[in-house]
Amino acid sequence: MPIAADLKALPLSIFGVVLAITLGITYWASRRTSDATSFWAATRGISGVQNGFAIAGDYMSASSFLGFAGLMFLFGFDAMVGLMAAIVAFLPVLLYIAERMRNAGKFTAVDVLSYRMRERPTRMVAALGTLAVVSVYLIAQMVGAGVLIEALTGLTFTPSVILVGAFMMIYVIFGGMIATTWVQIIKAGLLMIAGVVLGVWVLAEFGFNVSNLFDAAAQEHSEGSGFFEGGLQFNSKLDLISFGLAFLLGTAGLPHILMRFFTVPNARAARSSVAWAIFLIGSFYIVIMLVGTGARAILGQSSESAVGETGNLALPLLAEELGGGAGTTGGDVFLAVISAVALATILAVVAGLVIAASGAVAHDLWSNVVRRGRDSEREEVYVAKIAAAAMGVLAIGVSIAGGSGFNVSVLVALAFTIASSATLPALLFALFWRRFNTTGAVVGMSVGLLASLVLIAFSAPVWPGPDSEGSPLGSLALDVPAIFSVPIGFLACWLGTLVSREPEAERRYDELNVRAETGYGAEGTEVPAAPPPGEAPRERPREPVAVP
Amino acid sequence: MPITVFWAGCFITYLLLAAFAPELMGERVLGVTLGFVLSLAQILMTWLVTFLYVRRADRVFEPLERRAASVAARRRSAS
Repeated sequence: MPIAADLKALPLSIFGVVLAITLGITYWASRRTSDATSFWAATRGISGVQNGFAIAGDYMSASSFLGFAGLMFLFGFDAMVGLMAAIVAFLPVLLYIAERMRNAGKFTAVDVLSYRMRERPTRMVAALGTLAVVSVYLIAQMVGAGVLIEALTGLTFTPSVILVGAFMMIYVIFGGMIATTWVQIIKAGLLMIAGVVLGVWVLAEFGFNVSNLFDAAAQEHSEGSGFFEGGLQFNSKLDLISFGLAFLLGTAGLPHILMRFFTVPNARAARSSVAWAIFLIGSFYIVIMLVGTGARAILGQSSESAVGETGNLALPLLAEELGGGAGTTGGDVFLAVISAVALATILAVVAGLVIAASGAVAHDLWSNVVRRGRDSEREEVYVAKIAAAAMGVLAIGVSIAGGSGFNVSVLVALAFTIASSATLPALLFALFWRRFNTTGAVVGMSVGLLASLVLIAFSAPVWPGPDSEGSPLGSLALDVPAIFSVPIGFLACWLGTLVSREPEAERRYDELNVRAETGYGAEGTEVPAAPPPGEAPRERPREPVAVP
Repeated sequence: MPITVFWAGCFITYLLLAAFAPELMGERVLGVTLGFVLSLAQILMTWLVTFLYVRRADRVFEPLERRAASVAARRRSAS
């Protein structure tokens, strides 16, 4: 098998520079990473602004940068709706989740759930949910990365995937959350700069007259002004709404995003970090709307086949065109720079995913379920590194085995569907419903997970053809089935709760509530008006709760 | 609570308009399309809600939280 079809030296050398810088960061971070708090929470020393950049870097995957720009190029208005769902989604995170998460948890979102529930069953199911979201999302990113790097540098699919996987493992295993955070911060910075340059350049091409830009874009589309009316990407109105819902509610259930709130010193910093992330992501999405429209106006209808089925190559092609066209020095350089930014984007996201997976395996499953909290921190970190390596190897293997046969958008839809239907309902109920109990959480998360998997298996992209013929759901088979699975998830939590009563969970809810709302006793913070030593339980006592 | 109604209302209205009134989204307003204007409005709405919440949390909620936490701490050391 050939390793490279037609190597392009310039993009590869810029890639090399990006990779070298990230390795330097990892080396620096590795000397600061020793215990569990530094490995998963970067010693809780990340500031609000830094964490805001890191969240933006963690969240805006290649599908935000290249994907949405490509969808804008192909489908126009429908892609704008997707972008808006993805930014408004941070409001529930800001208003209901972020600060409470910081106050009540330690390393993973699951900590918050198990705080008031019977620890072992809750952690087990919740960690499975985390792993499901993370692995599906990870494979989506890696397959996307392989296809992209192949197109941009000439390196073929398999070595591209191995390259991305290897670097992601190096960051996490040696540099932990500190390296991951700084890779994400730098990536967010690069992405913002690239976005602004592209945006201004596109606008300049049209004399900074947005109206001209829109006219030109509509002229270049077969549907004319239909380009701005929507309905081109989705088969039905229900599909569009369901897609919006999945992004809106799924974001607040993404484990790698939630985990970022443990890296800041207190709830105030958690709050300001979301605010910064909202500002950065919102600005970037405005740019993406303009740049995507610009791609349609400048590249035109004739480039539809060149950008690929998903439109992923629209942005790199636009950069090449703006730089002077294919074959010119300017075009080559700009293309290479944008490609390198895309690579940095992918690396930052996959590293965040792998560290979230290592938290689920080592902190939730190994330390608290298998060893029942009796292991040392050293052991926890050691297991985490093994888990990160295993997850990396597995993701590389599956991505190569499945190859470009994986439909990336189905995988992303699946990840968001699970996050919104399995993780989010249990998390919200745990924080806001006193009566909620272990049975409800376990039943809710399992049913939510199962419903997502089944509905995705019946979804339209899996059963192509008019009205999804063959799928048992017929024309109700959607691209993203969140509109069905989210209510199922909430309902299952509720029904599961009703079958049993658990006074312990309700008593602990009061404790959780005080801690989540006020930060009293939160990890790594000063307890206000400190009680005499020995009487302030900083750790939650691990007395075994009676199991029926 | 009112803020929840506000942001959810804005977004759901936008989503429903996008799904059920596509022609309206293509309508030209000030040279650009209404869909683009409404999309920008969603981002501005998100920024506004964020600004209002952060300001209120810094000024009102946090002092309250501190007071509640110190009361809790005193109770615990007393008992």
